Amino acid sequence: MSLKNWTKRHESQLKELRYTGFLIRRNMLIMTGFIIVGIMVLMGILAPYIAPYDPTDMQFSQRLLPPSAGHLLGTDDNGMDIFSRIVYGIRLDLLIAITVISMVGVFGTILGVFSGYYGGKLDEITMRIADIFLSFPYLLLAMAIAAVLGPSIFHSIIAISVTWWPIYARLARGATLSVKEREFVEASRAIGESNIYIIFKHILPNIIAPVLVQATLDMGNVILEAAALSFIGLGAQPPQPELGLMISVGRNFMRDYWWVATFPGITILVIVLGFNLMGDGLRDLLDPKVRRSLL
Amino acid sequence: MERPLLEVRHLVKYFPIRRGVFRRTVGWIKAVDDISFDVYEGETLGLVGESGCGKTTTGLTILRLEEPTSGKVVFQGKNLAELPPEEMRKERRNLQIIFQDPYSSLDPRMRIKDIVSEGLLSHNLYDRKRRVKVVGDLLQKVGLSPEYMNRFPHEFSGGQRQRIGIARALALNPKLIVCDEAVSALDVSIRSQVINLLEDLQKEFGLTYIFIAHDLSVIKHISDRIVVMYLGKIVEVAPKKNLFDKPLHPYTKALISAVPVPNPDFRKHRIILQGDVPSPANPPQGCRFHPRCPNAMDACRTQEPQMVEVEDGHFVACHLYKG
Repeated sequence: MSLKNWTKRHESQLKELRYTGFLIRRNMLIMTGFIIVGIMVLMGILAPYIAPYDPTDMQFSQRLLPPSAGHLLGTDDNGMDIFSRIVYGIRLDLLIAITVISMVGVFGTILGVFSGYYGGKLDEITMRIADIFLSFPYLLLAMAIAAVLGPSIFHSIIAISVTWWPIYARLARGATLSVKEREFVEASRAIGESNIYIIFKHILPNIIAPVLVQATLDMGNVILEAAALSFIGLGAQPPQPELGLMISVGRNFMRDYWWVATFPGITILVIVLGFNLMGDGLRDLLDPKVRRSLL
Repeated sequence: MERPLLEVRHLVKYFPIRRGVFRRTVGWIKAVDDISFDVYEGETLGLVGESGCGKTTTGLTILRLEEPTSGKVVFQGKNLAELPPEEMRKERRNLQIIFQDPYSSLDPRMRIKDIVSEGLLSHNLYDRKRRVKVVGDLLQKVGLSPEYMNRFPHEFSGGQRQRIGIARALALNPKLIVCDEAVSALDVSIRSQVINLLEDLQKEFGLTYIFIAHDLSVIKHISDRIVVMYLGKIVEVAPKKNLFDKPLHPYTKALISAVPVPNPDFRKHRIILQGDVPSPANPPQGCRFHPRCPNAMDACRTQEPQMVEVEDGHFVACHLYKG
């Protein structure tokens, strides 16, 4: 009874949702993105059940074995199973990316919305600070911060977050500027709503779509950057199963034992590609004009 | 005569022009420059003028959606311009606005129910059940089915959206509604429906309208009295009949002569104004209309004309008319 009621009240949204599903299925690239991301997330969640070995279990008798039935993707120089390490690596990198994106997304968006909405001095100051951060190549700045803090995963998360928020602040500010000029905001003020209410009830819901798209696209970018920091030794430390770190280790054996670096590399490629395809797809799906052309 | 519902006195609204790195104020856009008029209970006051003459700013400033630079807006004995925020918030129940663009005046992410009941919620009126009922009644009042309340704005046409906007304005049971070009964005057939709706609602709830429009035929249809604005100033105020039968100000004459007449055989004399509207950042000395006025005299270039009452209730600000 109550479920029936609920479906009736949300009829138009459910229809919309089903239609979106239909559009996704029709478009190979978007579909691929969603499938890759889905598989990766599942692998991350189910890592303990998928991985045949402990990712940090060193078996020195089994160093640098080529891919075989026993070790699906071979072993590395410490005799650790590469497939297991990749599965756990996906989990670790996804966790890093989710942590960074959720922190940066929330903080940057709120800052951007407030500075866009109130304008004036607050806006001027936040945007100039954002400019300072954006004027550095972000990997360089993240490297500097990570180097100062000392190498660890936690510090690399902080380093990436510190360099990443301006993107969201900018994005949210720009979107806010255009939304706050719309008449429904004026109407809300005429009713006597407070600014805080207007920001959370009218502005945020209307700017969230581009922020979500950016967040999805950035998942891939953050994974790349986290891997890069680990690669140069400023992020994860051995024997942690981190994809960038695995490439960095495998690099030394590239000539004779190609599988050590190659498989983690392919994994990063696939994850980032998946998030990019999904992000592009979301952008198209959320834009009513492009949406029509997806059919 | 009764006391007016709303008295606007010497209302001024300047917008700063900011330039450069430090956002220094280098000048002022004189959007509304010292205007005064009254609005009586139950009447419809038409506010006309071409684009950029300050009609909309006047409306927004009365509702304090823009803070007035100076002047008084006295509503039922209270000066809105000086009211502290909390009291102004309470007063907003009596003052509502209907916007021009029905496509941007409804939040696309909210249901009709939530849009219309936003004010009820904000002012803590009624409980949840009662609010739903009130929204249903309101939708019915504006000619929409109450079943629509769970839908989103994109599921409606322009005319329907405008009705939803009207329902939202009515929700708080206001005394005064500013209709800011409320029918300009609608096509002609829908326009007359919405105007009729506004008139019916006025009768039913005893509403007072300030009807802002650039379309004289609409104004002529709906208004009781008309205020003509030019470049931030009021040039003429008159009851509708007087204004259309016997316009006094040269600008009003030109405006009225520009109304198309739906009769191809009828050739009337049209007054074509020369030049463009001057910038409100740097309005002409004296009478603001003098550079385009066919009857400009020396006095017009130097002295600003005062409002004079030529007939009962018919005011004009022009040197051609002396008391």
